[in-house]
Amino acid sequence: MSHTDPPTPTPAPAPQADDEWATETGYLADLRDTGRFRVAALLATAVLTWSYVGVLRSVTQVGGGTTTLLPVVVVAVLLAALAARYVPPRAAVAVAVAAVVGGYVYYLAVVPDGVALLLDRTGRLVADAVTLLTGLQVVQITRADVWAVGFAPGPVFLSWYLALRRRYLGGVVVGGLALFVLVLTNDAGPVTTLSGVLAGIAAVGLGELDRRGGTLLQADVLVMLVAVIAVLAPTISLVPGTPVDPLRLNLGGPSTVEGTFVGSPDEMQVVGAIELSTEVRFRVESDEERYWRTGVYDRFTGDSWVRTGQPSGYDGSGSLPEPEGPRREVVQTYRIESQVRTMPGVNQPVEVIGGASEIAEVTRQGTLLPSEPLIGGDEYRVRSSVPDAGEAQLRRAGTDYPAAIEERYTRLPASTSSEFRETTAEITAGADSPYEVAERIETHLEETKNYSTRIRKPGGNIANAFLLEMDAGYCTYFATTMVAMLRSEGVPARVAAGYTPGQSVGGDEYVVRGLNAHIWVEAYFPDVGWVRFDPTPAGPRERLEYETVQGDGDGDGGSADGAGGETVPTLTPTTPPTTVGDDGATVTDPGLGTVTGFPGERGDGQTPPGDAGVAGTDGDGADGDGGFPVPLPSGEQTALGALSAVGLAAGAHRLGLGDRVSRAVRLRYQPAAEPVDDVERAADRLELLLSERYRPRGTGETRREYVDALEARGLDDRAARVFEIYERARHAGSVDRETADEAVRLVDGLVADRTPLPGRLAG
Amino acid sequence: MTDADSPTETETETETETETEPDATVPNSSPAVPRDVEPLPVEEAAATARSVVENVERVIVGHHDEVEDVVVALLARGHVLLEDVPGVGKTMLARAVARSVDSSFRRVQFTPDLLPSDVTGSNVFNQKTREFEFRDGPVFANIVLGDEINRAPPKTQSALLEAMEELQVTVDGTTRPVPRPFTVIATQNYVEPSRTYELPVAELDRFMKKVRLGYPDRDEETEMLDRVVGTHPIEDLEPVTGRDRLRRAIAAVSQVTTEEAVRDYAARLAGFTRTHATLGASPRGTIALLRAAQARATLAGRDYVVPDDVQAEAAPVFGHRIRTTTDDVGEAPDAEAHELVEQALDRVPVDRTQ
Repeated sequence: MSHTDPPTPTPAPAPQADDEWATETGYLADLRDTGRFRVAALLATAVLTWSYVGVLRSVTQVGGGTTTLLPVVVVAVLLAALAARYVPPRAAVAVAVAAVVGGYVYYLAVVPDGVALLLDRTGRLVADAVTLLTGLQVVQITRADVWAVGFAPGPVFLSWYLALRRRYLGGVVVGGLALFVLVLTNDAGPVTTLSGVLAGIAAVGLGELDRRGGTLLQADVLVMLVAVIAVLAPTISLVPGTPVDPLRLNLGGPSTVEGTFVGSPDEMQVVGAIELSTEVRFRVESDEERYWRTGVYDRFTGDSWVRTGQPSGYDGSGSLPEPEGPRREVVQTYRIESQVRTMPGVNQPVEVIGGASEIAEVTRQGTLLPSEPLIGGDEYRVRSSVPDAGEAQLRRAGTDYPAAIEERYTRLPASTSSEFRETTAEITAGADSPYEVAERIETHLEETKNYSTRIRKPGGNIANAFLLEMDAGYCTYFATTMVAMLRSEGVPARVAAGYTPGQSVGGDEYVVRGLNAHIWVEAYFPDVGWVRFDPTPAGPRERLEYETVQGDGDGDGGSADGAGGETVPTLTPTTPPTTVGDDGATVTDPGLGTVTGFPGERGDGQTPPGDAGVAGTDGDGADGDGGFPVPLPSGEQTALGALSAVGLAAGAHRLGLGDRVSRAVRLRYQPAAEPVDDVERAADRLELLLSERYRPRGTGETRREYVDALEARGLDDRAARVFEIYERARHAGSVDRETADEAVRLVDGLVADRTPLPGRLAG
Repeated sequence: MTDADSPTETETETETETETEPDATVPNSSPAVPRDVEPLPVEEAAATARSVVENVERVIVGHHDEVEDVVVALLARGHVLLEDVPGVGKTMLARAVARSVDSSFRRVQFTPDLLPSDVTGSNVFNQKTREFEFRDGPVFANIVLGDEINRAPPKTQSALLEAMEELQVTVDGTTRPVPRPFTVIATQNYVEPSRTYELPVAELDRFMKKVRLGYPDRDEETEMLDRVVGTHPIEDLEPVTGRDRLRRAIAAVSQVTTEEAVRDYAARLAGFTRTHATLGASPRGTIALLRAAQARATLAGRDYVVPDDVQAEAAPVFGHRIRTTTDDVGEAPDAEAHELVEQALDRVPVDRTQ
């Protein structure tokens, strides 16, 4: 199965099953009137199904894809179509429950030690389930693909069974529960959830219209409801201050690099254009100027990064492993300035000292994480053991990776295209060591891609798009792509998030701001450990030089790197990962290109990074990425706008606004004409008036019958007289001017009585 | 009944009138009213018609609407098919109408062995004059009662039906017009369908209306019994109008205005029946509907037709012309058809623009 053309398994069987069912149960006549609603309700059910099956599918794609899920879903739908005819509801529910239980058992059977776990430690399973429902993503589960395949059939079967039996509400409840589970696990994004919810509402509403034989015009409430939900859900946040922002109208999600990993430490999103924040996050006192790492991510989903596994508590000194190879100790003291949900620490932390050690947790990848947010004033020390291998040793390291490392860090999502793999292979052809592979990839990215924070996020796989299509990006794109390329060459790699050293404020103290947030690459070398690479070009200099002297490196930068004492082995001659001036002044995060606006000022080095950041941001808009910031409405915004318009129209229809306006006009509009026409017009106005006052005249009701019926309810004599005149005028074919005027006058009076104020104004 | 050929109840004048006005340009329509008849003013026509209705109701208890239906048909130059179980007063109604308008009345009892000449009359050899002379049959009367018309074979039925449609009778090649006004009131019952010759749809179509009397309710029946104790009131029934005045009233009906809106409404009603039944109302039915509506308007003292008139006449005029798929033979025929007409009245907009 190709991942490029998403199959649509569910809608196809719907109409067919519909027909069969209708024939079987003698609903054929019914179908003629309401068939459209039935088809629409089943389509909505299909969309709901697709909302959670799609999530499950993307989960399996991350692990490399599986061919099992979609056939399983299709079979479940077909079985449901069969069962809807022959199986009573009770049995169907039993089948669905059995399918869910069976799916879980299947998952346990496949996962190592799963069955033993089931037998020995049921409590642990319950705890796992609770963890899952409180935010652990399915993507983070060890064998997410197996879990997804086990999870899918039950709800799909039952919801389709119920929907095909015209129990749309039941079907939607079942499908909605399945989606709800995935919402709780944070796998279903806002758009998916919203479309699932809307589809559910539509299915129930259309189903009711189907069951009760509604008409198209009666669907206005439903349309209104759907539109209101669709517009309100993304624009109004239920709980203010929740970490996950509601879908904004600019649909940016996090708008800073920092935001992509700080808000939710388990996942790092890849977003489009970003902004820069000058807010001070923390101060560091450190022996060495390093990248302050806050987390690493091992699972690439194609458009975001996920950290798998659950963090465990920090068990004090000595509990954390040290790198295997040569290492150097770096002790850092952090003082938090504004609240952060992360716990910076240089790779690779081995000890946490201070009060924060109480709340410190350690991820399976060996990074630190606070169990509760750190707030301004918190202080802690981290002792890190930095791998300290020279280039020669790295070149010699070989490929003898531990199995666990290789298993976890070389997986790519199924969406990784073969073209991507081929291009990577071409770039790295002839490299004789993983280190050289990494070096070539880094060089390639630096030389062929520009740096820009003003980009639009591509659809689909980020690495594919960045390597093959995009010309520019920022650190997230560079790092993501490099990791994907390394993995495709079999080199274990992961992305690391954190901050560049920041502004040096004398001695060994650094001030780190939001704009210092950065994403880089860590690759694994046997007997050495995780080594940092930074493929992001070093900012403005690089860009300027790239424009003038194509492909020429910056010697100055190289020397700066050397002078700064960088021992990180990302010693690519062209681009140092961070730039430290000879005079010790720090140019802020090159990855973020904050100093785009004043490339010539590198020499004085005194510009405070904060100002630089602001200036850079200003300069950025004008520096040639040309015209991008013009706020064109995005597809989503257009869709939202269209939905609002449809909703408003439906609401107006429900309230009968159009009718009211035209009624008000028609009630008063009396152009002078021939007597017969005058009388006719007057009678029409009167009828309109009476239809508001009493009731409209029935379709087959004559005016006489109407008047007789209304007279019993106290009809004004004038009205009866008008109808009398009308009847003569119309059916006897004769009326004189005087009588016609009488009719008009009578109706004018009646209208004025009915609506006093406008009547008097008009009079 | 073996000697049913003798028309037993022939009274009053049986003179033959001679005017012929074959104004039959409209398909299957009866000739227009003779031009030498001066129409009554509509109020007088209405008064005349009402007096007939009242007079008939002295005999017929509890069937006001049906009596009006028959009188309207009379005014509209139509023929009426009275269908019901035996003994509810079909014959009595016909006789009462005939007496009230002081017109000739003859009755034909249709039987399986009745011959066409028993209806039309035949040429009889006169021994004295030594030549054939025409002895007219019961069809030569202003009001002809064809009792149990569905008991006779189709050939005999058609003899009457020719007179109804053409207002003339052809015997041995000689065509003789029937007297004016000419109204056939035929009866049939549906309780013994196996022993009848059901009227074909084409012949049913020639009846302007089919009217069912139904049983009187208890009070009405009590009152009826009260009236018939002693002498039957029909014996004492006096005419309330003359034949000439009736003809002038009939002429007045033709003068009633029918505006385009009403004609259009009638046509749309007919159209509705055609699209909702296997056989809908025929164009002849639509013509009959409009003419009946004119008569109805006259009865109400109006010289113009309103949609209400059309609605009042729709069921009796259209009912027997419509064939629905689920029509059952036997009890309550036309129930479906009448339901369809009701639907048409409910669902067809009275005004085109409505």
